[in-house]
Amino acid sequence: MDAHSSPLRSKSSLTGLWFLVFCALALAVSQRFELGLCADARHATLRELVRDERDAEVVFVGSSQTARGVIPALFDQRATELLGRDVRSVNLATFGNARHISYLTLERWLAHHGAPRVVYVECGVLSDVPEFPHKTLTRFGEPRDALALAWERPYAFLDGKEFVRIEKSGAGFDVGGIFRAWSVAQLNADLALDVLGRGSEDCVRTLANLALERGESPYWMPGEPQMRAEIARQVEERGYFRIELDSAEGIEARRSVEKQAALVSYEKALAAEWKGPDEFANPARFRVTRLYAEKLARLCRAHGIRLVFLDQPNFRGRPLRPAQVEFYRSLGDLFVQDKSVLYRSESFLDSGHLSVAGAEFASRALASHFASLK
Amino acid sequence: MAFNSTEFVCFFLLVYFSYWALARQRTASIVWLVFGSCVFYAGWNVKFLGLILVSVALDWICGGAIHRSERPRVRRAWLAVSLLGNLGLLGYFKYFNFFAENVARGLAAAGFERASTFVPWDIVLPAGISFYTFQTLSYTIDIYRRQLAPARTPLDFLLFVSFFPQLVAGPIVRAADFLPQLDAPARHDEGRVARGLYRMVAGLAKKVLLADVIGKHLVDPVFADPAAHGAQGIALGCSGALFQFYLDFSAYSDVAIGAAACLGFELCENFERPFLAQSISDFWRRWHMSLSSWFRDYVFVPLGGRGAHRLEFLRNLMGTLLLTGLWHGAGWNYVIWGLMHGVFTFVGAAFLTPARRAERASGSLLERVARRAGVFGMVAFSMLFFRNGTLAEGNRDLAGSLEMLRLLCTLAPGTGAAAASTAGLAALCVAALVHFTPRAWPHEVLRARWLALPAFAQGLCLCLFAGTLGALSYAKAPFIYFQF
Repeated sequence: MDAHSSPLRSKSSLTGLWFLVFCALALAVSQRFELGLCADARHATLRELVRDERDAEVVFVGSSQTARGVIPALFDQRATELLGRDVRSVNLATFGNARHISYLTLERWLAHHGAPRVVYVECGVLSDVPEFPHKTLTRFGEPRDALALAWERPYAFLDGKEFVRIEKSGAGFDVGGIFRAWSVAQLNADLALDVLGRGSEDCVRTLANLALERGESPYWMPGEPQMRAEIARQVEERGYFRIELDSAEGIEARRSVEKQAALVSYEKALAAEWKGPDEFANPARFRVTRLYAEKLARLCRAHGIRLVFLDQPNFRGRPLRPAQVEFYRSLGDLFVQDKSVLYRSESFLDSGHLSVAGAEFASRALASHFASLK
Repeated sequence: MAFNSTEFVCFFLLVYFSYWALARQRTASIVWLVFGSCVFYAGWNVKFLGLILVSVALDWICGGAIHRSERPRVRRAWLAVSLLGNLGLLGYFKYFNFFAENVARGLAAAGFERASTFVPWDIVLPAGISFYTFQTLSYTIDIYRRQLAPARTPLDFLLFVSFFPQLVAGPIVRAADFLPQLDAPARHDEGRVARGLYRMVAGLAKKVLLADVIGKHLVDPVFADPAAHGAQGIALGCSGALFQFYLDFSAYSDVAIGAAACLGFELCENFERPFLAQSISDFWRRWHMSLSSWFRDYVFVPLGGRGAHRLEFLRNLMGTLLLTGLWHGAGWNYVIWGLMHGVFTFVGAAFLTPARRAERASGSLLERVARRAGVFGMVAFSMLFFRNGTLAEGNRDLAGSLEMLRLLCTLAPGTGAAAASTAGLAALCVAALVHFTPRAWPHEVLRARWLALPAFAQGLCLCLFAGTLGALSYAKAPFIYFQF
């Protein structure tokens, strides 16, 4: 071999090119088979739902608050009773708190299914977060989303820590905002590249899962046998799995409910109104939340879908800000859950998530709301 | 921009292909590398690019002035400007709060009540400042000593300081080694590039599959709750921490040296199997070699080296290792760590006559193993302070180290049901096995097999490797030495 070969035709350069080719192929395979969804924390529910060919009349999107707080089986049962015809709903909420993920999930659903009649999109004080990306975001993106990220630059902060630091002390020395602009462009470009680089990661993870599950499942399953047995038992018994209040996880989670209950009484929480500055009224804040709410509204309009924003409560927490209410009402309907029931301590698993009892009540209440829509 | 990120892979491929496309035009290729290095650094914090440029401008001017002048006083004055400028910047960004806090604490203890209200300034530490400051300092000092001619152009000097593989965490390159490489035309040596690529991959594997696993599963739990693990657990945690630091930092050096090799540059080695050392002095000749040789050449020797008597040696050694400790961070943990190494080195070296040294070299296998174990034990013991220093914000967790020291000295049993994880122990065993086996295995066997693969198979392996690194949840843990 010529020691000083032509650089761009050398074996190492070819290795680099082959690497890019294989990464592109892996990305294509990952996109084709939705492998990014194999790692979700809902015991494989999300990918199975997305790949199920049946259409749904109602779709829920949101974070873990909706994933835990809406039980489609109960919603369907109650809506069917009220309307006198079969209703099918799917809960596509993910364990990741970001409006952007909801948008990507709904977009993916619509690419393979008929348009639902109604889409419920989670909103709320905990759901509407400042503009930093959730760590699971790149699992839901596609190449065109990567391009959109690089072009639109929606995210302004790397994480909550950076957000607090810059909020507290400002951007510091910055001539004409050029440094800040560079940081934002670089952050979004980094996210875009992460989306594009996920193909090989998704393929390797799925292969590893298949190997661990002896070829039976591409999903990462909970390791403890008792957890699997508990999921199977609950599904057999009532058709869905939720963490029970008297389980080890439930007892651990209850501490935050007890703490909040000691701080805020039931009556005080029910009477609470938003006090203090309304940060949502500042157009420079909550950019991602606004941007993807508007995109969701456009997507729903284009498919003739009725859009309802669903205010998911947190246990005896603050109500929606006035500017939030105004914003969501300008884009669609807004449904606020009945807190006189949900603010009882047995309705919550932890301070942000409904318990089985809370979710059962909330699902039936949602069905009533759906049945009342004209 | 971390080496273990998709962003870096894309960046490196772009720089690599463009650089070799431009390689025939030397200036254009250097401009491209400087531009790439600026983009790389801007991935950390774009604002501090200006600081690098200030440092480069300062030393370019000082270096030129020292070289041109024949008058000792003028040369000394320019050297002082360079030292004050560089150490001033380093001192402000890295040490201001540490010293100000301690002065304030001292004043408050002496009765000045206003001093007790001191609030640390909000100073962000620029990435890599300790590394590139030492590079630029060595440049002016070498010119002052007439051991080096200045760089031919400011562009060459800028590349020497900002060259992206070594910019953030070394190795600390000397101008005498790097600048001559810019004089020769760039030639693509496929053998060197292929070895460089292999070294990058091996470094990343070392970091993600060994260092991070040891850190997450073995070291972090011990340092988070030492009482639960007891003396035995702490001893294991310290040994794990030492391996973790070695694997993490040598992995960074491997990627840096490999990336430079892919671009046709040779960087100095930074590690030489440090746990084979038979004395603490020997350990420092094998551990972070670019830093230890820097302190030897620019601090220890100018102070007088071994000196005429043992006290002089002790003073110079303790001074050098105290500064080495402080170089790693502004905190008492690092000061104590440096002083501990000073004491260990002094005890080991001061009483070692040339005859005894010769005797040692021809000692039996058992003796050598015992000495190596002793050196490893001492360095692992010092991790009690070093590792805690990296934990707390502001590196102030001295109380945690002292508590661990108490538990260790009293041979305290563990209070909890804590046990070392299988994954952590397995990774530690693999790391030890690789470190202590002859060099020919497994590195050279693996490398030979890698080099024999056709290009498409190498590309496929790299793709699977990248996927594996990404699939491990902690694949994006930052390199530890970035914080120094």
